[in-house]
Amino acid sequence: MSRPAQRVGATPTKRLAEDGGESPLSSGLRKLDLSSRSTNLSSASDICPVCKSSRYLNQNMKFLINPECYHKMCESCVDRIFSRGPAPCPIAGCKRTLRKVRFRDQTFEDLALEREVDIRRRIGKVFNKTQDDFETLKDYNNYLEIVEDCTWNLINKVDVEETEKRLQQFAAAQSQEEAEISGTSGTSTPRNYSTPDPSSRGLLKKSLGARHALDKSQSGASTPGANGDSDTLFTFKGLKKRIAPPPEKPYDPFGGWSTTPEYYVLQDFYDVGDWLNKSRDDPAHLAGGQDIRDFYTRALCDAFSGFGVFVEDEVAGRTPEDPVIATENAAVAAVSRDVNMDDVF
Amino acid sequence: MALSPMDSPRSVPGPAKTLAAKTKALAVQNAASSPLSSGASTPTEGTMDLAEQMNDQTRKQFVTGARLGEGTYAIVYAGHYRHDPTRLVAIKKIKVNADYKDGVAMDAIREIKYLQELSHPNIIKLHAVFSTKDQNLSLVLEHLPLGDLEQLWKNKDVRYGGADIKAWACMLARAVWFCHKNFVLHRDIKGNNLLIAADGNVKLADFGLARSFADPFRPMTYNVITRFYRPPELLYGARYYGGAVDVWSMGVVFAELALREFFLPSETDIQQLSVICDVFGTPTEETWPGVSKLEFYTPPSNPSSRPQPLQFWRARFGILGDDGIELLRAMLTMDPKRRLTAQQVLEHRYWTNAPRPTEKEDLPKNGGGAKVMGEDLKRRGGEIESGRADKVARKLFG
Amino acid sequence: MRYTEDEVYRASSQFRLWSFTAEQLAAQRAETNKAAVERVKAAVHRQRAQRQKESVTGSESERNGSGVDNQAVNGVQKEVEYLTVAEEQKIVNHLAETLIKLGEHFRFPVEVVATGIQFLKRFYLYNSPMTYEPQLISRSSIFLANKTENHHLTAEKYAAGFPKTTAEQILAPEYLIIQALRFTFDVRHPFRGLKGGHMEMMAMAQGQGIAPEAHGRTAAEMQAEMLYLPVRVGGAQNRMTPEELASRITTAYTKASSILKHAAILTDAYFLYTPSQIWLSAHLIADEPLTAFYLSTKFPSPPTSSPQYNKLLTTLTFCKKLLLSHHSLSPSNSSASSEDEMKAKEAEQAAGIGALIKKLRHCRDPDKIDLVKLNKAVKRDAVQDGQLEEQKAKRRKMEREGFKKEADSFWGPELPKKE
Repeated sequence: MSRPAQRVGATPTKRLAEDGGESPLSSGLRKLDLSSRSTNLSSASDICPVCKSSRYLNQNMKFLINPECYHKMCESCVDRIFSRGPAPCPIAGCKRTLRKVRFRDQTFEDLALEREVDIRRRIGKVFNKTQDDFETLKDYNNYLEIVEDCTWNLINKVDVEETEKRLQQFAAAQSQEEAEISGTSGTSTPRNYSTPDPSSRGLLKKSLGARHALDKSQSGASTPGANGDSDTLFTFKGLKKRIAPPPEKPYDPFGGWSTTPEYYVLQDFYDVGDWLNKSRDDPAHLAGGQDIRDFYTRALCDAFSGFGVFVEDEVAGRTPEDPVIATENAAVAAVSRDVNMDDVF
Repeated sequence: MALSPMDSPRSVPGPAKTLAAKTKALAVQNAASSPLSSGASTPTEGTMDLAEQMNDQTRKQFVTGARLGEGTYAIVYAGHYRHDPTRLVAIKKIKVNADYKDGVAMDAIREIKYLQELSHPNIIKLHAVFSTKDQNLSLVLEHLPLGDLEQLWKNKDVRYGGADIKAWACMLARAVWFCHKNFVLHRDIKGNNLLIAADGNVKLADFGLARSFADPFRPMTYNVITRFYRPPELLYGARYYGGAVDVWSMGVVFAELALREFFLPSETDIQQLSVICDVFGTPTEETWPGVSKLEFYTPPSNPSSRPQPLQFWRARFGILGDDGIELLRAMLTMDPKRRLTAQQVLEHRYWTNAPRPTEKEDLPKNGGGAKVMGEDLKRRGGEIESGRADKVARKLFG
Repeated sequence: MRYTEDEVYRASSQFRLWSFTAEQLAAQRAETNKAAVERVKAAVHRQRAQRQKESVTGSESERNGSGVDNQAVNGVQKEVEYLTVAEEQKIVNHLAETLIKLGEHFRFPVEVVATGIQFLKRFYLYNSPMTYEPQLISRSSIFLANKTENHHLTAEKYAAGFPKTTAEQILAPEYLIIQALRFTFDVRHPFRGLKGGHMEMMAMAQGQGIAPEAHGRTAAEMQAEMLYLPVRVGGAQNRMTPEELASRITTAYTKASSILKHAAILTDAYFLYTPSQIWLSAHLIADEPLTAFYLSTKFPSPPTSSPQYNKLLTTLTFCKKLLLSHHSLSPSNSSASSEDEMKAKEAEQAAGIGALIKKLRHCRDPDKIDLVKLNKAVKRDAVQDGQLEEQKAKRRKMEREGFKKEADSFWGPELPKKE
């Protein structure tokens, strides 16, 4: 349902539709507006077209529709006809096969509107590019134009077959590209965000990170010609080439730090035969958790702390003042006019 | 820094020629007539010794802004580098404690000593230290505007999940690991000493109780670590202990993040022990060799508590998953000898198993998140925003 | 990042702020001396000017000043003789040595004494004894070291250990010291490192040593080589029993340990070398073949082909020379067999120091003599925003001069007698 933010190069027919023509959506919206003010006034619509029973007799009667053909019928008819499996629509002239699972409540009173919304939702799922995916705003608007044309065709049942085909091809191309990208990025195993235990306090919130990942995977786009040679109907101009995100490195709990000693190999026990050995068996040290190995590690770390640091070489270029301070002083000097300004010290 | 009254830069007089100005006049004469230190660029610097000059240079690098809050031992101001007002800092000015008879307070000495040595992304950065005319030490610390972990779990407006907890706990574990790698015991790990930077990084702060690992046969005090986070060996009066004390505190913080309430709260030290024993069972010589030799150990009364079963943990800490529960229980092992070390904590499979910890930039934030930070940036010296700012300051004194 | 033992040291404040080349150290000391002389000159000049002014206005009471300005009374402006850098160093080193005795007297742990001495040496890198009275500073330094090394001691109890000393006097220079230390309190000592090396050598002697990164030596090979170590470098192989070897290692450890507790902390070693290099040098003095062998196990064989090894050896040799230059290790000291000779030497030294201290008394910075009053004044000034009335200044001046007289007796007995 995206309308171009800025109308660039819209076709004349289109403008006609926008400005003068009555799309079911716009008329439906008007009706919706009306119906919200006049609730429960309906009379004819309260009779089931299949069993002819009326809400007048049955207060709890509920009507359902199936987005396959948008024919309305009451809940008990749905149960009766479709409980044992798919069956043809009972409305005369409609031969579509319906499944019970797809019956649902009606959102809008106007079924044409209901249908248009469904179509737009479906198309929106396939054509899900954002402005960021395009080189220029113009390219993006042209893309929106094409999408709107498709939508229009489906709503008004113009070239339905061909449009459906284009839609499918585009979806297939997208999923193929998506597979390629996720294949190269090395995260082949789907991230399994463990759902928190429902019994624990309500912290249920998918982490932002997870959401980002999800968003990315949905915003798949095709590059021109990525879906092969057969189809040129959906090679959008100015569509940026999608670059596979760099492969995610395995998580390092140490944050990139390692402390493997360079000059020694730590042993579990050093028999030096003095107070050190004694502390090893001292009950007070044992019970309190003072570990002799901590001392070993520290003594050896100290032994080689600066083993290969040659002060003469490494500090030769330093001034008596900290080099950091020295450079920052230069900067301070540049702006030192206001030395006493808001200096509480 | 002016130590002598005659050297005070403010004593340089105007045209007034009262008798009272005699001393000052002399100071000016001195400045004008004597060939002072060649390196000195201004007359005032000439009367300072080298150490004073260096201190002065450090001090001049910073501009102090609004007062953020005051605690018993320090006042915290917002501040920034003079040459770059976008580089924010927090300036913690240590109060001179009249009651303390032994000069500069130990907390300040410890904090400065260890922060000068430790440089790690998950430990608060000490930019500089300087002293002021009235001999107060001022610590220029990293600006950490997003509150602390305790505020975070207390804030019911913030929703977070297992991957977020893992990210925070891992940053905490890195900080503790790094301290221990440098042989420093923090001895006051708790949610409100874990501050959150603008980029989402968790930073361990408040090293006022820190010390380096003691060598064998050098006893330490057991009266450290805030009670809820104090491990059983300290409650039993152990004087020879190691990094395991910090690991216990870390475990309690980890548990609190998952529970979103205090895990082991109590009113007194005695009660703290019984709260611990209720969960982990009363320690005996079998479960904790040597425990009966500790000063305040009392044999378990009848009936002695038994450790809670796995279901207890699953019911409360389901959000951590089984790996997380295992890690948590290993961090909260009664016997410090068998408790995990900080190194072992980071080697645990919990961190690398799914879910992957949330990237720090994507972590849920306290309060308004970026908005609060934006307001922070907007605020100039002099403007005081109470409320949130006060809380930030509170943590800086712990 | 790989946080190696060397990186640990590079991150330390000792390396970042307190490591220098010999030239930098000398240059800094010269600059400090020069600045101090100028300060004293300026202060003396000011006092004289003040005196003249006051004598003009007829204030006779000011005439009985002491010290520096005595000669100035009658307009005879005799030039003051200032301390040289070498003389300043002598005074500071002398005080460092008395701190060792002080530490023994108070039974302070060795790291407290060693830290206190480094504080003192660091303080006098940016300050001159002409500006700040060295004995006061040394006493406060070691008090501060007690605090930074977690050795609890109250100022009161500590002050009571000295004659006529109050806690206030001990604490007065604390801020000055902290400032001169550039707010760094951590001192990296070589003591524990020596223990670590000792542990490793013992393990190697027991046939349990592990050489790093497969430098090609097995535990058995290392043990075998150790058992034949010559007595001195280039000497013949000398077969030892494992017990003899263990006792040789322990003897070397003990000797190196004593060097670390004296020569290493009293010389400039901490400024010029790393703790690792310092203990290795001390160990080199104690037992050269043993140390050389130990070093060789840290490098791929043969070690002489490694430039790093040769460089280290050169550095250790320089450090060893520095340690040996200390009089506690000088050959004349050890060969001075007769006690009389020793005593004569000590007396000579004491006389030398005495003369220096006398000289110092004439070139002190008059502004900085009474640190207790200064300290109070600073705190008061903070409250009163630096505004001073003449009366106060005058009173303070008189107090200062009174204190100066007191200071002479203060310099009397160097150390309290042990009870």
